[in-house]
Amino acid sequence: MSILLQATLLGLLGAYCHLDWAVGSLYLNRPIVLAPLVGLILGDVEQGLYLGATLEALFLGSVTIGTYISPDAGISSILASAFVINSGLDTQAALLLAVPIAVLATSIQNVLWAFYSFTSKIADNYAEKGNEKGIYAVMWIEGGLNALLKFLMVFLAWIFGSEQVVAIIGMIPDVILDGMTKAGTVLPAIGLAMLATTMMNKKNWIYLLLGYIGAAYLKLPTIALALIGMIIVLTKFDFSDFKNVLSGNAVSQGGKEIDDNDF
Amino acid sequence: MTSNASTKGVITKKDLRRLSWRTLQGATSVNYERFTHKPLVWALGPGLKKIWADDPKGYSEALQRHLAFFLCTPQIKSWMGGLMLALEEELKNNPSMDPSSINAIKTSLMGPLSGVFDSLFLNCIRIVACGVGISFAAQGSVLGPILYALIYNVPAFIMYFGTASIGYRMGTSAVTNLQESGLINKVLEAASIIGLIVIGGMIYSNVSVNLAITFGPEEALTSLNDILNGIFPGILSFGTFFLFYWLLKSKKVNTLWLVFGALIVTVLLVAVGVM
Repeated sequence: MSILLQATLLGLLGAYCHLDWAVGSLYLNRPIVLAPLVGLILGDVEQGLYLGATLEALFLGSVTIGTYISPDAGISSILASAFVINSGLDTQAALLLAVPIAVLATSIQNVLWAFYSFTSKIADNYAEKGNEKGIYAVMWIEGGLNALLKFLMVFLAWIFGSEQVVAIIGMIPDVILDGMTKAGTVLPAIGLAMLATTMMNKKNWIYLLLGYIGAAYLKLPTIALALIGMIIVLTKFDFSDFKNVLSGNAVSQGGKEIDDNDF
Repeated sequence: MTSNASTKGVITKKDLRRLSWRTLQGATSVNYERFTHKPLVWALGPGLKKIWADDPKGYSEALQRHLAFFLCTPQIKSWMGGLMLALEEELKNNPSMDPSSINAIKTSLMGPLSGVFDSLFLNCIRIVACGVGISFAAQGSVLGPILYALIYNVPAFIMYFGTASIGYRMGTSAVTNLQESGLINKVLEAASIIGLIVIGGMIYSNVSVNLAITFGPEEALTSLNDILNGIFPGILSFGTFFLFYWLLKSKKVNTLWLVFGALIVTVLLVAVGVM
């Protein structure tokens, strides 16, 4: 496959990183999906899968929540996977590349999103005239440019960077690459710790221990742990008023339903 | 059910389905001033046009109203949109209603509900999906990405296509219900529990910190690592997790520094033969 075709296909994956938000926020713009697709394009799906598992574990805690925009896991996993597959290096070498690319890609996008604060005024003008089509057009042009930007980031990096990056990686001493390989199993702890900071407290940390013991001593797979979690939650909380609250029927302060209803 | 517009409304099931489809474009364009406001107008647009069909001025005001700051969990946008259309209809039929109350309700719901559903989708369902996906992908199985995509998106699509009509029927009374019933806190706590159990399991299966230190005579070489794991399996990984947790939570260390720091420290420890 010519490098131009590779760059185009990888670039389209890059564009998809943005377009995912326009097709239902499916979260398919994550390493675990993108790296195997990169593998498919470059002819090594299996390594793509390994790379996906490694990079997803690294970026696990890195998601955009509310106004916090996280480092770009999508663009960086495409490029890091592609460079690693192309250079025939060990999977863990991707970690060395992923973080700097992610930070760079996010900074470039930040400029665009700041600029869109100004183009929003155009949408305001259309709203004053009652012209909804104008507002939609602004939205699609902005979204299109964002996808184009991500296409170009990947496309150009592959055209101009592929050989250089691979050559640079080849110059790295073995001890650093060994270190990277070991670091690959340490870094997921950061991702998991980031997640835990948003939900762990003095009262519920014991559940983290429960999950750990389930995996360490009982060798339970993740699905089993999640199901155990669901059972615990269902026995611990009373969700009988869920439907009433969402449908707007009266509920008592205690959470028990007052009137049996037709909804 | 009292204060909703289901009897006098012009919004049909078809309109609500259209709303659901259009909420899928929920973050097509984003900006740092008002975030995903344009995709909200994109989703509400056809409904607003129908409600304000005979009132161009009202329509233009509605468009401007919904171009205000908007940011919430993608999966509740459909429900939110249904509620907004109900409120717009109420405003159309009841001129004494204060138009600014619509955005007040929207804004007051955005924060707390996003808190709950971000936890549910990003910290609970996504973590389960990733945990399962990573464990398959790490063995080179294509089931990894496929299961990941399904586990995350099946509940997401139930929300997208099942909640627009609930939001529409809710009316304003239910908004207060949500805040007073304590349901928000319950869901938040429950999502955290499941999330933490899965995170606990993932610490064991994805993190490994091993020491290369051995001691004793040549013929009975003892590994320090084996002794430690005999006390508690993966005690060093578990400890490393809590070290990072403490650095992030109590010391507020920037994540990027933490990643670079961990890389450098690991490389150094490998270089001197400790790891």
